[in-house]
Amino acid sequence: MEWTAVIMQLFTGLSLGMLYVLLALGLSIIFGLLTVVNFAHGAMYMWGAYAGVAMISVTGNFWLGLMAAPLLIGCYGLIVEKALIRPLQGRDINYPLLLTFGLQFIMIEIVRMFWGTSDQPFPPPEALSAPLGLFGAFYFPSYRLFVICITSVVCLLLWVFLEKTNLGLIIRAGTRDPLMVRALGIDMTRIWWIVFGIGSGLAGMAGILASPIRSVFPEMGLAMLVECFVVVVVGGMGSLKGAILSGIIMGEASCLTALIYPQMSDIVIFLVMAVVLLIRPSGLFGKAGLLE
Amino acid sequence: MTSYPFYGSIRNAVIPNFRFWGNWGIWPVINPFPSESGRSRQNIDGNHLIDFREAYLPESVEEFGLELNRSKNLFGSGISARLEHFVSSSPGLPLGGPPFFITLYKEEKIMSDLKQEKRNGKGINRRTFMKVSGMATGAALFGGFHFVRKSSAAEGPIKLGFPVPLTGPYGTEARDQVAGAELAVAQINASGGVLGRKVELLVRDDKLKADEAARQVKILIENDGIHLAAGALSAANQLAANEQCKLHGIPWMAVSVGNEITKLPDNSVYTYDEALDTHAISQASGAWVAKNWGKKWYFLVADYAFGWQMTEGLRRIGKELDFVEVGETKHPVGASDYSSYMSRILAAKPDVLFLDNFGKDTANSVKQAASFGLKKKMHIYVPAMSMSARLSGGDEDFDGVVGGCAFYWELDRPSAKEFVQAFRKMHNRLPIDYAGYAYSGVKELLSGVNRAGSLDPLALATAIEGRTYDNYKGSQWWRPCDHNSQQDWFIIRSKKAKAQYDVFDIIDTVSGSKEKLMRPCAELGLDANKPIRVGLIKR
Amino acid sequence: MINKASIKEAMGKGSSEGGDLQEPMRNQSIWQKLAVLVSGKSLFFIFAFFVIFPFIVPYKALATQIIIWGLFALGYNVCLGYAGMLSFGHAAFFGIGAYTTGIILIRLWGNLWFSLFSGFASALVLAFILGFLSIKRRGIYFGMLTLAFAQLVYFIGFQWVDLTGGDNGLRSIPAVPLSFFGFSIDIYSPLRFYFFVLIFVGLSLLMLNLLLESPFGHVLQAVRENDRRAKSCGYETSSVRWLAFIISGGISGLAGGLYALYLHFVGIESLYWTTSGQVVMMTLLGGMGTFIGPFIGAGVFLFLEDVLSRLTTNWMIFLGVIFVLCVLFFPTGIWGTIKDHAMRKEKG
Repeated sequence: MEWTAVIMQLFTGLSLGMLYVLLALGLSIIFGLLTVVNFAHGAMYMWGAYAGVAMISVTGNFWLGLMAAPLLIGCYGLIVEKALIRPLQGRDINYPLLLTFGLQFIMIEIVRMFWGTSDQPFPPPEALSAPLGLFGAFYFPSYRLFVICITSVVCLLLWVFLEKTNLGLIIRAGTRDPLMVRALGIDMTRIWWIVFGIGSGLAGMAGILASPIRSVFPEMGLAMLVECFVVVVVGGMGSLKGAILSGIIMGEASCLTALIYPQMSDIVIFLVMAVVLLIRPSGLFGKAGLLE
Repeated sequence: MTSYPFYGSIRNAVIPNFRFWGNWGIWPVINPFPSESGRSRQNIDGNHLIDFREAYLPESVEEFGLELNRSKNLFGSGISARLEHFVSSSPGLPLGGPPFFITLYKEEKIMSDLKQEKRNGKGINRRTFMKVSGMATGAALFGGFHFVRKSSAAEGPIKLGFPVPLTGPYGTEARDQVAGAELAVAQINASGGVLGRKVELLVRDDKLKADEAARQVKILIENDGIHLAAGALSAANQLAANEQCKLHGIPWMAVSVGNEITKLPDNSVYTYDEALDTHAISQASGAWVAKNWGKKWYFLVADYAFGWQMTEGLRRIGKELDFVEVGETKHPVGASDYSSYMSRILAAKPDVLFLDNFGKDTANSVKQAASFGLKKKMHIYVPAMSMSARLSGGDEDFDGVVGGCAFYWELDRPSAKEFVQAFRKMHNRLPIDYAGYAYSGVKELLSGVNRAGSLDPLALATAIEGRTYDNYKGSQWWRPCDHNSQQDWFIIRSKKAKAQYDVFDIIDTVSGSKEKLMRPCAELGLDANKPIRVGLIKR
Repeated sequence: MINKASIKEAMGKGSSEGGDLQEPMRNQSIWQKLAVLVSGKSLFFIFAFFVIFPFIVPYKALATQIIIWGLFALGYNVCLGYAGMLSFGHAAFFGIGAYTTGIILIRLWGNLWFSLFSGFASALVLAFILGFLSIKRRGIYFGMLTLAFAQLVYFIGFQWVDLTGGDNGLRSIPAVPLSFFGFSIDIYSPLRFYFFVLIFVGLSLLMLNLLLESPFGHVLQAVRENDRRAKSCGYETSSVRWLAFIISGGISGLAGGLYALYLHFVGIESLYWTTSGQVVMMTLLGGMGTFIGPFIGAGVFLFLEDVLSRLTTNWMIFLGVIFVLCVLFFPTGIWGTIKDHAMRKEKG
């Protein structure tokens, strides 16, 4: 196999993995703090894409859409948390899971009602539509490079936020020991509200970033959701390091399998997950006993 | 034309059918499981379980007389039109022969008594009243459980069941299928209907799931009493619906692309396939591509039956044309990311990349191939180009992509122009190929019944087989050995959109005549010299 | 040693609690008596209801569909409601039961009993294997593992076209008559098939009732409530949960086999995770901690889906809204809420 093909495959794996990373970060951060398994994450990803479609049809500008979509979906996440998830506080862990499970069907239908069932065309912005010659050896879509860059920037910003700001400190503490943080007088419900919004915003951003690559259609979140869950579980529910690492690993695994045995490229992530869970029950960086 | 039966069944559940006189006798007591699906009869181990209602239910008074005579007429002549009316309008008579005649005789007697007394002006005799009310109670108690309305064979509209995936990713195609079927039904109804009766189109949503399709067809047959069925979009749904129709002896017209339905064991005398199958599409594509673009082919195959069959067919025609297969990659159905396959394709350096997938998969793979610069290095051919794929892919990505389709609205043939005009008038938009399939298929079924003169499936088969017709795209022919419709295929090239559906140019026509595109009958397990009679349920 | 006292202790309950009546029955009003009757697991009433059920729904095929899925949901409830394990892979058991029944009827031996039994047995075997691999994990990890394995089974079923028909489904399942003691009954008219399925459903209800009222059932609930405490009382919790998983899988497989007979066809979607999702929704809708709740849930879900899909193509939104409202306001599901209400009325 030519080395150019392998390098190209590594890049594609990275670009695929970065999308997984964005989604997994959102899911993991929500789970880590709220212990809510957000099944509507895929639907929020899809809504991010459709928010982008709406913005582009209104303003015609992709960059505006890229900035607006995460904000819009973040606000939507705030509403969902306050109205739907907060009342379920204190109950069994399965209830928010099941609620978001039902919520995603509602979100899919709403999109179907307004935009129909067929795909929405979503071309990449002109600045990024030409393939870029990399190392003079092969062409790689510049849009995908852009996706890699921007997700790295977002991860960096998130890290800065969590490590260097006060709010980030509270969030990290809340992940470790919510009871103690409340005992120290900090209102965790506010924090949960904000974190859910951040997580949803990340999903929305992933949605709009993915739209020029993949089709925009109402069910686009479903397949992505399952893959995203696998990524989070492998990385460890609640661990951000794990989310980033396993996102990249899964992306690469999927792409490299495509080189060898393409039919399995869908299934290979399940195999990896099964293997990881059998060896390390809580995922790569997960905390043992978190869900018992 | 389309109906919402839920209200109908509420109404029928609430108001039992009091014309159901005949079922007061002994038989319902002995037989706790009355057969209510009038048409279901199974050939099991050679024993024919015959539903006597179907066996003796006449289409006309004369036929009834003949039946009566044949079965050692004990009850004499004097067959009245009224009796025929009772017989034919009685729904769900239980299994039983002799009681049938006994009840017939009794009701004839009671009704004539009634009439006599009315004529005498005495009012209804108490005894007669008891008899009649006893019958009514008996009917209500034992027959009234059959709340389901049974439309009889001799009156009421002809019902055509139409299961399509209205919800789900192919909702737009499904809606166009319904639109085409509605147009056909409207035209037939306007010109006198079928056998003098109106046609009613019963559209159901099968949610693109095969078991849902099977269930909807089962309900249509058992509950709504359809006489004919057509529809389905995915091959799996076609086969599932076909299975149900075969069991009950209902003619089924497949109006979308499949590959298995014309083969044994799925094909039967009740099965018809208006659309071309994957094999035909592949044969039509191969010749054009080899002539115009080159012989080094790479296949990007969707990993399901459709993709596999398309690739097999392309290999077959390619072998005749001395092609070189430089590579094949299977991708999971519904995959969103094709980036991982691009490097392999580029490394193989083909002349032509065949995208053996459909719908969303096509759109995604074209978009991503374009973004990876594949179009600069090779041609892209899509054997089954769908309008929705082209529309969602966009002008730029599809620029220069060539594919095939069964019908495009710009087709310059008189029947095509008429069809497009009529469709536009009725639905305010242009028809896509699926609308055409549905239109032609439904029209063939209905006109076939008219030509056959009855709803008998065997007569229908005889009326359809060997027929040359031209409904919307040019000359088509029903091959008798497998009920497949021979037709032409068109090569289209994508262009910059001038209007909503004006996105292609027809650049070539592949003639389907002389069975060039279809598989030989023997390969399907059928006899080329005999019309298909497999699975015929004997009365 | 398993006895009532140790189980109660394992469940963390004192000896004063329990589901006993609070006052003598003769002092209660007719409504309270009815409530007690209804809230108890009165199998007789349930069965009687199901005997007249096909005559009150718009068409028999819906009734048959409801009891088949009800059986599936019942089996799933053993896993979710009684063992407390949220599994996303039960479609694998349903599908393997359906496919095995169909394949045996087509290829091996056209005997109805044998094919149904092998469907049941194959699901038991699969549950044995998958349970062994997954049972050590809890919570969402367990769910994801079961999902992963179910997707693997789906993939195998999809690719093994010669055996299963791939994505075109398993067709031409013959309509084999029911034969015993020399009699041969054609069971394929709608009403007859309904009663045929009802026999199996009734037997399963009986068996499950016995099982869940037995000491084993109580241990299972103890394990669900507090795993560590049950362990400290000496129960082998993973084995208990494994056994529950196997039983749950077996019943799901039986439901799958009946589904194959019902449609004479098995679609590949019966192995896909959307089938698992559907049964989760039904179980939750009906009431996951109750015995008969999933049946009610299956009935309501399918009935609504049918009614709504004829009225509008956007029926999913109504179903989603109802589901969300149920989770928010009726967490014990429809039947659970009725039971709670009845219990409350009974207590005065």
